[in-house]
Formats: sequence, structure tokens, C-alpha cells
Amino acid sequence: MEAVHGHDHAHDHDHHHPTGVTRWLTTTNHKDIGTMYLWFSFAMFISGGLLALGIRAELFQPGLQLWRPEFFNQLTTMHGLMMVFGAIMPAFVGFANWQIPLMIGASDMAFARMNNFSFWLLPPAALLLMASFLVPGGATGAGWTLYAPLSVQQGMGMDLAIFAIHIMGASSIMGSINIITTILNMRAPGMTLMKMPLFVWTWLITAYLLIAVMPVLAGAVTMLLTDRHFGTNFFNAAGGGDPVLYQHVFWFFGHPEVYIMILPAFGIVSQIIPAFARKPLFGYSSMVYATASIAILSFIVWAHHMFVTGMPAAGQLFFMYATMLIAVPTGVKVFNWVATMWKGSMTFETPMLFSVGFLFVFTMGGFTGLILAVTPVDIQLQDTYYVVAHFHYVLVAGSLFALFAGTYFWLPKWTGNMYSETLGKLHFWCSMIFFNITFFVMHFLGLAGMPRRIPDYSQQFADFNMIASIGAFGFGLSQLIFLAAVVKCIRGGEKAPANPWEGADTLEWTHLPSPAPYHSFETPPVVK
Amino acid sequence: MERVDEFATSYHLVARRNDSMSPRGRRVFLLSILGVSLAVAVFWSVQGAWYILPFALIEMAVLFAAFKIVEWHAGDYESVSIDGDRVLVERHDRGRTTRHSFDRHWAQVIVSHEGPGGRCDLRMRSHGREVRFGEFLTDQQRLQVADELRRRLKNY
Repeated sequence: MEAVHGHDHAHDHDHHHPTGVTRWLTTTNHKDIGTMYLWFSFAMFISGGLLALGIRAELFQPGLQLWRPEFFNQLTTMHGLMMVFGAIMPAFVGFANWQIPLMIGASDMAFARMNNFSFWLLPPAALLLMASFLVPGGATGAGWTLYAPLSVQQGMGMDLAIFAIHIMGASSIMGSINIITTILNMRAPGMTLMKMPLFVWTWLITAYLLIAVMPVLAGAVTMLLTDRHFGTNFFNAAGGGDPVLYQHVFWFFGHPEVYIMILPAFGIVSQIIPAFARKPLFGYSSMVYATASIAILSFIVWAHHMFVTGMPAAGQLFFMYATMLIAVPTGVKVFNWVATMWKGSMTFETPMLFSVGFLFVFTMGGFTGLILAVTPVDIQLQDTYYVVAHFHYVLVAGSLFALFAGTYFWLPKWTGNMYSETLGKLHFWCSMIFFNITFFVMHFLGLAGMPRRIPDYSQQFADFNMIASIGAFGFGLSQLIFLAAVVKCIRGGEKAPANPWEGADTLEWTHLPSPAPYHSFETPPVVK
Repeated sequence: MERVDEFATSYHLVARRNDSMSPRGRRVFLLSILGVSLAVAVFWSVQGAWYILPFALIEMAVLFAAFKIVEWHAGDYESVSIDGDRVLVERHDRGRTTRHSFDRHWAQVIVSHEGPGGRCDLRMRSHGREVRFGEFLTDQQRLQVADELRRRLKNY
């Protein structure tokens, strides 16, 4: 019997895919959806970044220059909400969509249609957030934490923010369910849990965390909503409620949320450092256990955000020591990354530069976190610019730098073209230098007592604020280099081989050409 | 891929969906995550923030449904049997089994290379009917199975 080049219309959907707008609206392909997540998060990053530049423009000099104080508060709040829920989280989900199926040898995500729905919930939520600037009273100015009772009293912009958070939360939950079911059930034969790439491990644990804490956020903002409009008094002291309860509930979500935004970054860096050190990751098992330990500990440290609300000494001590304990598994990770590089045959292409940069600067953010964990110190530094510096060192130099590293690392696999190393390195050095100009001086401002979320300040803080503002504009402009590097890579350039990195050994590099075909691993590879 | 090849006139091949977790492992994982979510929701309900509980229950229901769907698909398989003058292609999908029977004298094995990403497609054809099979096989396995089936159909 001879092989016949038959044609079967019943299976045309497998052979062709829609083009144009329809492709992006209806796609169930993990690569398309990953791409949409990444572009969406970049758009939100730029939008949130513009708000940050609005903040820094006002703070360039003391006195009120550009904005009313109410609008300034709206800028800080929306900057935080957009960056956390619109930029960082969706960016990691974009990476998960692109990479998890490729790294475990699966053909797609377990629930492809739900995956499409998870993404398409995000743009309406983002529009709600942005549109809240236009409603009477403007956007919410209660801070990204939406603390009661201020959030109970604010205008319609607060309702839009609550609705947006609900939608984004639903999207995150669906995304997490998809990621968990994909990782658990669709690994290639031979890929046991302890053979999974670390990026996959970190996402499995992150998705677990998301599922555990997202209902807490949804409950918290719904209680705010009913306090505002339906006569309940969860957080309204005048009606017998407790505003501090809101803080407890919020931070029970909020602290694991911090790890939701950093664990996948650890995963990305754990893929890149071994690839460019040309050595296997040092202490793979300990990395997995450290990640799980960080996730478990994240549930019992929430009140370190609330030392000044008043709590018994025993409570202060518990939350202080529990917080300090997180330094142990985090230290294990930092040690393992350094040990991986030790005596490695290292080269410093852009992904490695961002990873090493991450290691330096994130560790500084970790140390300031350790300082803030000490209750008496935290009581001094609460709500000062020291805290702003700390979490930007963790979230910008941590999460964002890892996202940049990951983008440069996997761009050849995604596009089939090599990125411009010149643009990549320029982007790294500009980002690194301007990031530190912006945020390092904030430590001094905080130690000197400058409170956060204020549009005006004393003369004594003027110099450092001017430096920070110059750095912020430099950092913002540096991101245009990133955009240029990505667009240039998508449009063409030197063709990427299947594995352009000598030390990369995960399935997407060893089993797939560059760019990865639209349908990959229709049947799973066998992992030895 | 399991193959039972008892006699020259009979042949039986079963290919199962790749499923990287045992049913027990799935149950343990599901129970652990449901347990943590429920514990968190009950803890905060006791503290007065009871709105968290309904959200947690909805989420747990969706998670449970997702795992249930995965469980249904975990038993998916395809089989091709040759027994006497009949060729039976069987497909078990989400607990439902569909069977296509062909006359061994007329059945043709069709291999095309128009699958997604250039992969090969495997079909059984006879009397204007065509059934695709081999979804759970690699390209190499599909070609092997096609050769084997052709040999057996030809030599009958």
C-alpha cells in the first residue's frame, strides 16, 4: 500500500489557522496567547510608567508644580495597580503560556479555550482602570492597597477599580488552574516532577499560591463594595466595623502576592544563569525546596506590613522572626546562583547581564526587606521612601529585570531571529544605571523621614528628589531601547539556530527549531 | 503504545493519551490545594470576613471541574484491531467509545504529511469512509504502525 497525499477537510482546522484580527480574538494557541499577554503587559508597563513619570515630574522640586494633591494620589494609586495587576503579573503569565508547554513537551495548555478567555478578560479590566480617571471624582487615590476607611469614602473611580480587580482576579485564577493542570498532567514521558525545568517548578508553586489567595482579595474588595453601597459595616468603625481587619485581609493576600511576582522571576534566572555559565544549576533540589519554603512562609508573615497599627509584643515578635526566616530559603537561592557561576565558562550576553544585574540589585532589595522586618526599625521607616526604595528594588530590579532577561533569552526561539546585542546591552546598562539613580537615593530620603504618597516635601529632601526624578525619566526612556530591540528582532535580523545558547538544555532548545513551530510537540518527546 | 500480536491473522494495538500524573497523585494534589483554600477561607470567615468563603467555594468548584475533566480524558485511548476479515478502529474519548469497522480486504492505510507542523497523519479508509487515528503516537510510531498494518492487510 502506498503513501497517499490525501486531503481531509474534516481536519482542516488542524492545518490552518485564522489570520488577522480573528486570529488574535479566537486563538487557542498557547504561543499566540502568550504573545498577547506579553504585549498587553508591555502596554500596561508603559501606561503605568507614564503615571510614574507624572509622579516624579511633580516631585522634581518641592512645592506643588503640576498636579492637585488629589490627582497626585490618583497617580500613585493607579501606578501601583497597573504595574502589579496589569504589567508584572500578566507578563509572567505570558511567559508561562509561551514556555511551559515548550519546556514540558506539551502541545498546548490543558484548557486552551479557557486560556483565551483568561487573556481577553484583561483588556476590559485595564480599560475600566484607565477610564476611572474620567469619572466624577477621578480614579481612586487610596493607594494600591485600597485601605479602608479611605476606600469606603471615595468616589465612583473606586467602584471601577474594584470591578477591574475582580475581573483581573478571575483571569488570574483561570490562568492558574490552566497552568497547574498543564504541568501536572501534560509533562512528556520521563519528565518526572524533579526533572522539570526550574521555571516550570516556580510557576507550579506560584499558581498554587494564586489559587490560595485570590479569593481573599476578591472577598476583601467585595466587602469594600458592600460597605460603600449596600449598608454593611465590615470596615466602617462608625457602624461597628474594623478598618484594621481590612489591612489584615488585604495583606494576607498581599504578601503572597509579592512572591507571586518574584517566584517566576527566580525561575527565569535559574534557566539563564546555568545556560551562560555552561554548568548545570547548582543544587536543583534545594532550589525547588527553597521555592516551596518561601511560598509556605509567605502565608505567615502578612502583619509585618502592619506593625504600626498596634499589636501585642508576641505578635510583633512572631511576624518579625517569621519574616526574617524567609531570608534563609532566599539565601539558599542566591548562594546556588552564585555557586552555579563559580568556575563556570561564563559569557555575558544580554540575558546573562540582566540576570547578574538581577542578582546584585534584587539581593539589595532583599537586605532592605530584612532591615524592614525588624519591628522597631520598621516603626521608624513605615510609610517612608525607604519602603518605596525597598519594594522597587525587589519588583523592578527583581521581577522586571528577570522579565527583560527572559525576553532576550527566549526571543530567538519566539521569533526565529537573534536580537541586536548592541541594543540589548545598551538597554541593560541604561536601565541598571538609571534604576539605581532613581531608587538608591530613596533609601536616604526614607531614612531622613520623607513620607511616601505626598506631592510636596520639605526643602531638605530637594536634592535627592531631583536626582530620583532625573533617574526616573532616564529609566523611562531606556525602555524605548527595549521596544526598539524587540521590534527589530521581530522584523528580521540574523537567523537564530535551534539553540543559540551553548548551555541551554531544556526541550524548547534541544527538540524544536527556531522559531518554534505554530504547533509544537503534537506528540510528546521522550525525556531520558 | 501497547501491542498484542497473538496470531498471524490477529493484531491489536492500543495507544493511550500521555498522562503524566497518576490518579492518586492528582487526588492528593487536588485535596491539598482545596484543603489550603478552604482553611484560609474558614479562618477569615471566623474573623468576620466571611465574603471570602463564597469566592473560595466558587474557585474550588472550578478547580474541581478542571481536574474532573482531566480525569475523564486521562482514560482516552485509540485502538486498532485486526481480527479475521474485520479491521476495527476504536476511539475512547471522555468515557465514550466510538467504533469503526472496515472490511480487511478493502481497508487502506493512508499516510499523509499534512498534519500541523508537518507531522504525518494516519487514516484508515474504505468505501468512501475515512477515520483518522494515531493521535497519541509520535510521527515515527505512526509510520511504524502504518507499515505494520499495510503488511498485515496485504498478506491476508
